[in-house]
This record gives sequence, C-alpha cells and structure tokens, in this order.
Amino acid sequence: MLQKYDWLETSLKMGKVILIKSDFEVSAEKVLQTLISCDDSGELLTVLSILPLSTRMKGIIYRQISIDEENKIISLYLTYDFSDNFRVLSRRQCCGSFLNLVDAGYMSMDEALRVWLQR
Amino acid sequence: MLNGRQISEMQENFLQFLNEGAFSNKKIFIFGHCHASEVMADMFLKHGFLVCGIIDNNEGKWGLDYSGISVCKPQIILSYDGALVCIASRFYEEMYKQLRGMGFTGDVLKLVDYNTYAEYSLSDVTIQRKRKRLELGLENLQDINCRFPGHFRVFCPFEALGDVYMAMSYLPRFLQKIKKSKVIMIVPSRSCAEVVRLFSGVDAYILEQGKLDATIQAVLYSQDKGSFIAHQDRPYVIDISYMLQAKCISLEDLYRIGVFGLGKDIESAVPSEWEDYSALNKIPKNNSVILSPYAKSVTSLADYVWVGIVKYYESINYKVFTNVFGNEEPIADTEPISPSIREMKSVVERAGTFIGIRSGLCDVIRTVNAKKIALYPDYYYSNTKWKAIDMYSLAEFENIVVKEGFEWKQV
Repeated sequence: MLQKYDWLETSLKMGKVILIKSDFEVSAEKVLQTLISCDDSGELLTVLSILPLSTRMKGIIYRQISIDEENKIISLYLTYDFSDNFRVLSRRQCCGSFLNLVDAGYMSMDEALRVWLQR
Repeated sequence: MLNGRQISEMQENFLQFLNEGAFSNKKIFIFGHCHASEVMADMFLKHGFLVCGIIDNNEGKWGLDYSGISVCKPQIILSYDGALVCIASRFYEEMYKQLRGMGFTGDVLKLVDYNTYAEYSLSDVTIQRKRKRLELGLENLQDINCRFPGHFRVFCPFEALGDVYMAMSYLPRFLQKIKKSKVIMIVPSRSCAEVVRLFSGVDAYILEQGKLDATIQAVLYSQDKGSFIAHQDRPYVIDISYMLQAKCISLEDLYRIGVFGLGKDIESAVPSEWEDYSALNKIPKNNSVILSPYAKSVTSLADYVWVGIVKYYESINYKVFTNVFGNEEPIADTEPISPSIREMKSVVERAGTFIGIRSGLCDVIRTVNAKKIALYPDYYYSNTKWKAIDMYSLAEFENIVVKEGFEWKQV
C-alpha cells in the first residue's frame, strides 16, 4: 500500500502539490484559474482533484484522482505534516480557517486564494 | 517560544554535540532570529564559542544585533568554509530543505525537537512511526473523553499565555454559536491552565506538550466533532495566519474571526476569577511600578532600556519591582516579585503602573485598572511586512516601539 505514494513523493520533489478536496466550496476549475493567474514561481505544480478539469497550462500537471485516493491522501496528510510542498483546500470543523475571514467579508475569496496559493 | 522542557532538551543536546566535538573548528551560524535562537546564542557564548551570525529570511531583521551577533541573510553561509548551522525552530524541516536547496552541504544540527507534527519524508519507516504516534493520540483522546464525559473539548496547542487568553476571550460566544455548554480546555502547562481559570465556569486539563501534539493530531485525523483546536497558526493544517501576507490582521481578529468564525463586532469576555496576592501590603499603593522584561515569544530588549526606566522611577521615589518566574533575574536595583497569573490584577492595581515587554502577560492584564505600558522590540512579525506593534498593539495600553538609542521619558 505504501508504494502507492511513490508518485506523490515524485511530484513533491518537483514542486508544490495541491489537493482540492471534493467538498471544497470553490470549484476546482476556479481554483486552477486563480492559480494560473497568480503563480509566477516557475515551479512545477501538481493539482489533484476528483473532478475532470478542462483548464490547462504549461507548468501545471493536473491529476484526476478517485475518491478512494483522495481519502487515502487526506488520511496521510492528517497523520503528519509530510511536506511543506503539499497543501489541501478544504473546510474543517475542528479548527479555524482563512475561509472564516472570507465569510466575514474581511477579504475576498479571490484575494485569500491568491495568498493561500502563493504561500 | 521555548518552554522549560524544551530549554532543558536544548541544553542537553548542546552539551552532547559539544562533547562529540561537533562545534570544533566550525564557523557557527544560527538559523532564525527568535527567542529560541537567543537562548542558543547565549549557550554558545557561555561556552566561549564565537557565533558568526544569525541567519534569517526576513529582510527586515538583517542588520539587527544580539549580543554582538549580527542577523544576516542565509546566503552568507555559502561564503564560509566549515560553516555549521544550528536550528531551534518549529520550522526545522523547511529550514533544512532551504539550506540544501541553496547548495549548502555543511552540517545542520537540530538542537530541539520543536515540531513533532512535521517530518518531511514519505518513507515507510516515517509513516509507520507517525502512525504509532497517531495511535497514542487516539488513546489520549479516548482517555480525555472518559475523564470528562459530555464535555466539548477545546485544545490550546501551544504554551503561549496570550493565545490562551485570546481563545478564552471568545470561547463563550463560540460555544453559544455551536450550541455547546460544558467545555474542558486542554492546555500544555500550569500557566496556561491558570489563564483558563481566570474565566468563570471553565476548567482546564493539562497534557504534556508531546502528548498534546499527538492528541491534536488524533483530533485532526478523526475529524472529531466533539473537539476544537483554538489556535491561529498551529498545527500545520491551520492556514489563517498566511493571510497576513495580504493584510495586517490584529491578533484579536485572527482569533475572533479566523479561529472562531465570529463577527468583527463581537466583544470579548472579561476574566473575573482573580485572586489577591498575599503580600499586597509590601507594594506601596499607587507609588510602585511592576516591570515585566521577560517574554518567551519575542526577542528581548537591551538592558539599558530597563536601566533607564528604573532610574526614572527611582528619581520620583517609586518602588520598582521586576516580575520574575523560575530562574529569571530581577533587573538591577529592583525587587523581585512572583505573583501567580491570577494574582496579577491585585498586584498591578496596587502598584498603579505596569511596564512590560509585549508578551502574553499584557493580554492577561489588559482589563486591569492601572497605567499600563507595552514595549515592542522593533521587529517584523514572522516573515510578514508588519511590525509587531501593528499586530499586537493593545487598546488598553500605551504602546511604544523601542528603537535603537531608545531613551525612557515619562509618558
């Protein structure tokens, strides 16, 4: 089972990996568009989502994953912090989130996503 | 911020590296300018080592100085043969990776295990080890459930009085929002538990930091609906403070809005469960000043700043006390005083004046009726473009930035 993380490890070595969780309120397509508009790092990016995406851009690898894969990766992420190159876009109930600042009108979703994606 | 256990761990590791000869004939650098790095620098200086520099990614800190050691950019280490980098930071994994990414091939030493959540590896061994830690955390969580049946569990992940105070300030409205009444706070130290108990009707349960980390990991993993983690940037999944890259957000709003999801107009709860200090009569009423020069979370202020303050208050016949804890030394020509957190209100109100470096203690006494002054080292918060005072200033205090050449004047 552990060997299944090989591709993830390889992707993390090449650059950031962002998993847009299936319950995240902003569509993966929209996140990807924001990502494209703000990322100028030149780093390779891998975007994981259970949804098929039509947006394509050089330097961004899109990987469609199954719900089962999503669950496994999320479980691993919630077991420990295995890389600073790995991030998950999701809303959690057991802790605060930048999404609360968006909900309160403190900043726009677009502005928050830009910061989140660039960090 | 280092707690007592972490300082002991750092001392033990330092001595072990020393005995192994790890520092011999090396150009020593410390990565990250913070309280922990200053403690480490003191260890090197005490043992007669020269520290070539404190490297830091924050451009705003370059050129600063601690005990004659300059803060400089990380790339400087590449120009030294035999450079050695020592780290005492929760960002060890990121720092290590950065150093190797820069092409630094020298030794990198971790002097304290500051962040048990992170290990940048997907090796089988690491995954198994972290799963074992998770299992222990799940057992701890189950144990807490048994000890406090029917309680909603709120975790304060780190020993920082200000963060615990902020959490407590907005907890009642948060509990109202999520329709919970019975709550137990889980904190890493007695001091944090004291802050909790300042607020009416809430009790605290203390878990040692390593166990607390594992239990919080279990809360995350199990997505436990009966638990909440009340912190603005820990552990790693919490992303609120990253928004500081775009906007200056006060610590209060990071908690009120970011952590608890409350509206900006929601007012904070006020602590009420104070106790009287037993020796109040030794403090001349309204003719004393309580100095609080120590903070674990921020870099220290130069001695001359405090000396100048003491001189001024002596000149107007005030009695000057230094609030000390554990092995902390009082400032010269002042009397040590060690009230508990719950006794601070009586002490400060009796004295009439409080002057402290901006620390969690300032949060704790913000509602106390006295003249209160918070001093801010002139530094940038984390890797942001905001100064400490931009984020931490307190409406109930006079807030003063201490720049180079600072001279105390009556305010």
